[in-house]
Amino acid sequence: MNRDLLKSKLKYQEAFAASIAFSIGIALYLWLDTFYAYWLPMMIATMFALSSRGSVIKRSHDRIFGTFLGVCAAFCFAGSFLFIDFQWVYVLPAIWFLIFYIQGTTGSPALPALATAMFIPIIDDITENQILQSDRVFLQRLIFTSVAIAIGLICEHIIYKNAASNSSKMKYNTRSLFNNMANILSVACSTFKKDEVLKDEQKYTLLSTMDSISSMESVYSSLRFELSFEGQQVVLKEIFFKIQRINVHLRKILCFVNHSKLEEDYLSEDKLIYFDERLADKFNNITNYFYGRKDNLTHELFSFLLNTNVKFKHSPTYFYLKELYYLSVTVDSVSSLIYHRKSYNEQ
Amino acid sequence: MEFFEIRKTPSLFVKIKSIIRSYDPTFEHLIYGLKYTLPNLTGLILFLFMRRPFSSTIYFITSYVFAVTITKPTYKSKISDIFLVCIAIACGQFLICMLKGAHNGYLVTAIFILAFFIYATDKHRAVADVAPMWISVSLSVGYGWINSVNQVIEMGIVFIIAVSYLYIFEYLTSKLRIKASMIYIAELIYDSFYLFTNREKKITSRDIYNKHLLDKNFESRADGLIENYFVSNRDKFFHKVTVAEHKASKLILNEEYHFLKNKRYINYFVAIYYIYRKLIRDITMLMEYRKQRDQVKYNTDEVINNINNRLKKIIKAIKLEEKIVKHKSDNEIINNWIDIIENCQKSPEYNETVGYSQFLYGIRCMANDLDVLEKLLSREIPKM
Repeated sequence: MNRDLLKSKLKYQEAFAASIAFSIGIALYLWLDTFYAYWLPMMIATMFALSSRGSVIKRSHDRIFGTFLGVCAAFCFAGSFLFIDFQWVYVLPAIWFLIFYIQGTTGSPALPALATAMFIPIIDDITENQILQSDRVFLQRLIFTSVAIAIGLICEHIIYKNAASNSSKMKYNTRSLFNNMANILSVACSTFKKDEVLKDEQKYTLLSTMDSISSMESVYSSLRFELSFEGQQVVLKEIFFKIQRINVHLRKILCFVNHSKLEEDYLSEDKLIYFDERLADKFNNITNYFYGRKDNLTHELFSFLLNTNVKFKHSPTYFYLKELYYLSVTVDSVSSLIYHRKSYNEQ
Repeated sequence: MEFFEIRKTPSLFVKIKSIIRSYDPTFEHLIYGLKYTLPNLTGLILFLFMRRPFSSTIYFITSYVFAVTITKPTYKSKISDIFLVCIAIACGQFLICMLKGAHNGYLVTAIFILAFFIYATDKHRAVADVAPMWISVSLSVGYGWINSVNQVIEMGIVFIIAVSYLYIFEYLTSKLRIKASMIYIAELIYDSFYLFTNREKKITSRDIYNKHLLDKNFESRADGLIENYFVSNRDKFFHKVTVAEHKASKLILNEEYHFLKNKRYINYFVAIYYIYRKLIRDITMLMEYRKQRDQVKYNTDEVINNINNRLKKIIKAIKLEEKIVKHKSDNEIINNWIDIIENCQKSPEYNETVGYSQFLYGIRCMANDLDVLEKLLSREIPKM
């Protein structure tokens, strides 16, 4: 199936699962007819805020933990400080700020849950001018949070269970990262041979590569909470390590492009284009290499470098070719690892 | 004349400041915290001032509505996202207040359709992060026509506060963010250069790794998680450089600025940022230097010290917003060194390893780029 069509199909399936869960929450609220039951759809909505399976599971852990802590903090604050002196209410915005500041620094999703669970009962307390009834509110919030999490997880695992899986997102992002890297190689080649300055649109190619790396990392941080993660962990760690290596080699190539130009008495323009296009092709068709495709580019580059005249061995063009060789080796090693891992899993 | 250097003990304020800086070097999280606090606080003040009935959610929703703009670069996309969130919440709250109790079956169906449209959006995904959560809050509000219309009016007020804060935050925080990002990148480059070229491996590494919190475990953050998987601290450090470069690129190249003073300030820093990106590439050429350092034949110490001092001077200039005054001696040192190296490379006895030659090439590139950077920093800094 077409890649974009598949992506939009998964998107609608994901939306369907989230809407069903949310509607169940609303229906349960209407059926229970209790004031604090609005917590049910609210929690379900928060779980599906970044809808992908890993993030739903991660959020469910953090929600329970954060809600428990938040409700405890609310009763401590309302029961002790506000009871002694009502002016303690002026501290609340500072506490709210601190919670979100720490959340920004650590990235923990438990903290916004803590903030909501802490502040809503306190505000209820202040606006309704009544002392918090701990037995009722405390227990009800915890129970509704647990029920909401159960509904969210059941819907996530029953309705189109592959729609929100991060594995497909990871594959999509890996492909687009390698495509962006192939674009960088093409840009580098054309700039190196003509000794031109990078154009603005070419500079944005570099930005999109960084965007791809960043989105891969955030998908990975959710993926690790999925059940299938154990089998993929080794491969993914290796992929991230190799991406870091590739990143270093690409930066070196761009350094040569920025400061030097092709020495044609060592390497002809056609030969440079030949090597560069073949490597870019390897990056563009990385999935085929993950499924066992092989080529002899690494060997060709190695022999070319080996037969280099001594007087060119310290020239930027030689360094450039050497980086192309390292890139090819890195891609070979990562694709062979994935291919062998796949074969091992199939057996 | 003093025979002993008196070292001042840093004050508590300086200590706190340095801790905050190491956790939040670009003040990104500080501003994130403020974005989640100030709009709600404004909502609260409005609520206390106006005392509108049934309008207690205004001081909870506003910050979340405003927060949908955090990742958006242009004003158009920011305002359209705020508008869509407000519309989605207003529709949901209107439906709930109108149908709750009287037509529960219709209510669930209508909410399902609305939620499906909200979750299916791809371009405005931030709407789905906020809208359903705050639609459900209106379940706690009463029902009937008055409440329904009241909720819609309330979302109108939320929209006005959120859009106003877009401009307020740009006006007040842009310079701080841009300057902090540039200082952070400059420091990372200075530290990487120091780390890759200094010979006293253990002492320097420990200081720099502590400064950039490489031993801290930030598993909940995607970047921190990946850094934990890298074996060597050098790889972790390089990853930090990449992340800082990416964040600065979003701020400097992608973000749209409305106020003239910010536009002028960003124009001043765009060219500087591009040179910093070049410097990061140059530094990758020095990564393998430690392995080669035993075979150093040419005296590179003077050049390395010179580059170190110049990088330090640049950080100071950006911090204090001063113009850089170029010294002729800097160019002399570099040019003399380049002459010596070039002569050696031309001779038939030259038999250095490729790694070492790459190091020399990297130093030359750095010297060139530093030259351009100093020229750029010798321009007049736009006054605010």
